Amino acid sequence: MKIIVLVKETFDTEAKILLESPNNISQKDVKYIINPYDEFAIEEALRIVEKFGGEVILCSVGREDSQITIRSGLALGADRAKLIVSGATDSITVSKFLAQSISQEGFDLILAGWVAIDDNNAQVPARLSELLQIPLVNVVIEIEISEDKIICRRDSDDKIEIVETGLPAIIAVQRGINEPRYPTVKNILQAKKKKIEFLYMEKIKEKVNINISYDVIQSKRKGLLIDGSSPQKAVTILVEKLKEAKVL
Amino acid sequence: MGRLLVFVEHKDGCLKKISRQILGYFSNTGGENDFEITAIIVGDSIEKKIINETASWGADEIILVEDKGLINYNPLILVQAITEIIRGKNPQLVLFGNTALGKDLAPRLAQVFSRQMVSDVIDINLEKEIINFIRPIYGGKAFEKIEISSNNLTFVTVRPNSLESFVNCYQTPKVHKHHTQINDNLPYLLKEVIKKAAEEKSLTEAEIIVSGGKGMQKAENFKLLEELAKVLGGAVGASRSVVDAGWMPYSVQVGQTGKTVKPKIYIACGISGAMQHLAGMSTSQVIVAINKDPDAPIFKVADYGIVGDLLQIVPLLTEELRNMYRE
Repeated sequence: MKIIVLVKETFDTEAKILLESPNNISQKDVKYIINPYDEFAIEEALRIVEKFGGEVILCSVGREDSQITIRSGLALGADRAKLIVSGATDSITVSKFLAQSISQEGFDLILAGWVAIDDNNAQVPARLSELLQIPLVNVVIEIEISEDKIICRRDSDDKIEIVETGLPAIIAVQRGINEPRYPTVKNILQAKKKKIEFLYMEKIKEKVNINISYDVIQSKRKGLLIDGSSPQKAVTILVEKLKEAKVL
Repeated sequence: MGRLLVFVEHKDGCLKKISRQILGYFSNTGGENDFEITAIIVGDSIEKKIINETASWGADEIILVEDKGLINYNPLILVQAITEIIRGKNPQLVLFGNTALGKDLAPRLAQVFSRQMVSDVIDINLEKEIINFIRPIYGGKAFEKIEISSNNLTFVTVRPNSLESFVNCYQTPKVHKHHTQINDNLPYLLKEVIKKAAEEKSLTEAEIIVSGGKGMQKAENFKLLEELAKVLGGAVGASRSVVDAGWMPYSVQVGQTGKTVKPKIYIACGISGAMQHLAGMSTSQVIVAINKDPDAPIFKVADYGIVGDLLQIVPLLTEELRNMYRE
């Protein structure tokens, strides 16, 4: 089975977000990781290939330097990678680039994280499913593949939905689906020799008039600290304060 | 004249809170802007009281998509039906709640029309020429402000409890039916639906969340939080370390790699306040922290903090509130 895994390079979860200007988030001193949800997709792909045989190809849109992060995905055991180098970050363009390169490559199954922790867009899997005209099962916490069908358990707020689909398909995974492995020393060494294919794509000029700027959180909290050495007194004060704030 | 299309979600004969919030928000700002609200309601047989409730929140027009095949969620059928409705109505905005359904449907539809989608917005401001959106990114550590010209079709999902809800204003809407041809041979088949246990119910819609971290010391102590949540009519959340330790399920994890929540009150018990946790709850209306460490970073984002032993404080708080509600 030929499995494509979509991976995105994101800031580390403990990264502090600073602005260079209202339109630019600073990338200075930022540690990069593979989007944690995409790690679940890599792990699931490796498990499927371990069972059925085949190949795992990572596919990413990012910076030239994203190859360092992509290589950490290869160190988990993926066979090779395709890195589309582009300044594009919007979901429409990224999906278009991925669709082009994935349909040239050919595939049986596409796996991806359902959302990226940086832009919080959660659009690329759905857009790809429309562009490639293949079914998408979204927010999946369990995959069971048999010869001619795939059964997925999908997390849907207060329900679990069990969905059947066939190949080819795209499945966007949610945390809980598996516990990603750590890279072995052998795999880290091997990853250095694995092939990353670079593709350079120009960002298409946007037709839609859109303007984006950023703001970082500034806490405007009351910050009232109550001494808890007398617990009953502290609780009474807290309830009073909550009533004053009209939230109780 | 502009038009907004709102996808209405309902459950057990009532509108979901997020749908009331979206309708209520736009029907009340509608006075200054020239647009009509069309609500889409989907189901196998749609009860009259759902239609009445949708009308009471200010829809100018209601489109019913009713079919036996719609008893359960199938994105392929809904994408087809909503695509047909969009082509007929030419709206500027198509709005969903940022729920399991909205997160799945909206990006598919956005791609059908090759248009922009603005995910998980917490504020929308309609002006004559442009629409302004605000949405959290980096798990809530920063905000993205987006301006899009209002004459483009744009798809939006709205985070629950974000838009200021107003009183309802009853309209007498036109009610139409839309029929969509359902293909029996779809490559996406819903086989079964399993209800989750009550305690796993969606955190994102809860008005009050009582959340626990490693400071709870052991899994059994989460009972104290459940009791407090019950008195407040809220839900229980957890930090990543608690979920990693297997004390609580992932479905209740709050933070950058879990759920992002925006309740009226967030009570953080024994949570130190790692950056990735703050990212998931920092837009809550009021934050309360209970922690024995006065230097815990959680106090920097809290409105009210109690420095002390939560195993003593939480049961007392539960008791105090229980007495208050009894009166």
